[in-house]
Amino acid sequence: MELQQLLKECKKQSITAQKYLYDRFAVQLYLVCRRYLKTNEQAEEILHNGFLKIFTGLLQFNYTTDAAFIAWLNKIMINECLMDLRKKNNFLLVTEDEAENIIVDELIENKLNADTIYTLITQLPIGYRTVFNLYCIEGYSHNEIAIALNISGGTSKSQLNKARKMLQQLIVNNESYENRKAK
Amino acid sequence: MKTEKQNNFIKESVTGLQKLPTGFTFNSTAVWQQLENELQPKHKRRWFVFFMAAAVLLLIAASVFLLFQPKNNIKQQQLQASNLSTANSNKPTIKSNKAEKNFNSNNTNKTIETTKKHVTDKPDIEIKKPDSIIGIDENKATVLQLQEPNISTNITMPINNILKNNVTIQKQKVQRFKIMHLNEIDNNITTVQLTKTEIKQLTEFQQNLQIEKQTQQQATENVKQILFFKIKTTNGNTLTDNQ
Repeated sequence: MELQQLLKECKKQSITAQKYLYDRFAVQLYLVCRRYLKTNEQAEEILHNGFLKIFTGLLQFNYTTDAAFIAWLNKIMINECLMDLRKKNNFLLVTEDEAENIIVDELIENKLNADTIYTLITQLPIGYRTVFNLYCIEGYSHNEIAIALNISGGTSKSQLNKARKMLQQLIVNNESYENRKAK
Repeated sequence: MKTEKQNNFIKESVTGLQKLPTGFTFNSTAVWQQLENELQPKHKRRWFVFFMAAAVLLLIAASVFLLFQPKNNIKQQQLQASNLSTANSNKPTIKSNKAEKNFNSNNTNKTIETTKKHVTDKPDIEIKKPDSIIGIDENKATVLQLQEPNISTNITMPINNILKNNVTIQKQKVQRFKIMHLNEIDNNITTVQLTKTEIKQLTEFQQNLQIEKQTQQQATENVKQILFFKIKTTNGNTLTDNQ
């Protein structure tokens, strides 16, 4: 079934169409939630809330393209995650440091696959991870991150640099682990 | 440039993921069941709300009915009691054939007593309000219809006024009619011829009737004076008993 037709059926509150839409996007949106949240249970809870918002907000949504709809879904899920994080984590407590220059490893692309990158991102602390996700994957600017998390722009930059540094460290550790595993 | 390239690589690899990486679990069916429960019961809840509203309305209606039902009975009882009290206090009362049937089975004569009798004699029968008289407020209640068609019906005075003003309801005399042809009417009229003695008798009868009426009026006036404790003096002034 085409996405546009599926959305029409969902707007009529057809439960089968809603189930079909859920099955189509559940894993993809779960991965988004899990990138931001610490545990699987938290991610499932936020996914549930997000889908409820999607089904209720679908009546006001005007379909243009598939990509626009997927972006809308992602945006809802990210907002749900940020709301949950704001409730549970006080981002103001994060100290503002000056951004450091990090040496970028050029060989990272050859060393890592998508699954490993995803797993390593989820191993970052909440503050680093949130800023890294918003900046590198969602494409937010530092100002937008500052507004979203209610922090300053400098804090966002420093958190991003720290996240990168830590990620590199994790990649190195993972590489050595993989080598040992291979031996 | 290098960082941007790296960011793009990470973004593409992460967003391009279609399956869960190893070490992550996602209970899709449990999440859907929760969702389904919250999406479907809207109809059930709506139905439940309507059902509850209807039940509450029924309950209110029933309670209102039960609350107002006994009040009407009490008022009817009060009305009956007031009628009985008036009957006991020598006031002339409405008499119906039904009442006579109930309280005086031996009395087969169903005629209504004359006004003279009502005024002078004490009522020896306990009298009930006719069943067909329906009224809650005694002052506003009017006698609309009596069960038996022979009894006069067009009374628009309140019951209390009827009782106070010594008005009685008389049973109408049964008028008998004969069906005749129009031509026969003239013949009948012509055949009836009254003699002088008969005319005299008729006039005497009418005079007697007038005298009877006058005596009745005097009697009622006397009774009124007794009831209201007022004595009319010759000067036109009224005096009470205390005076």
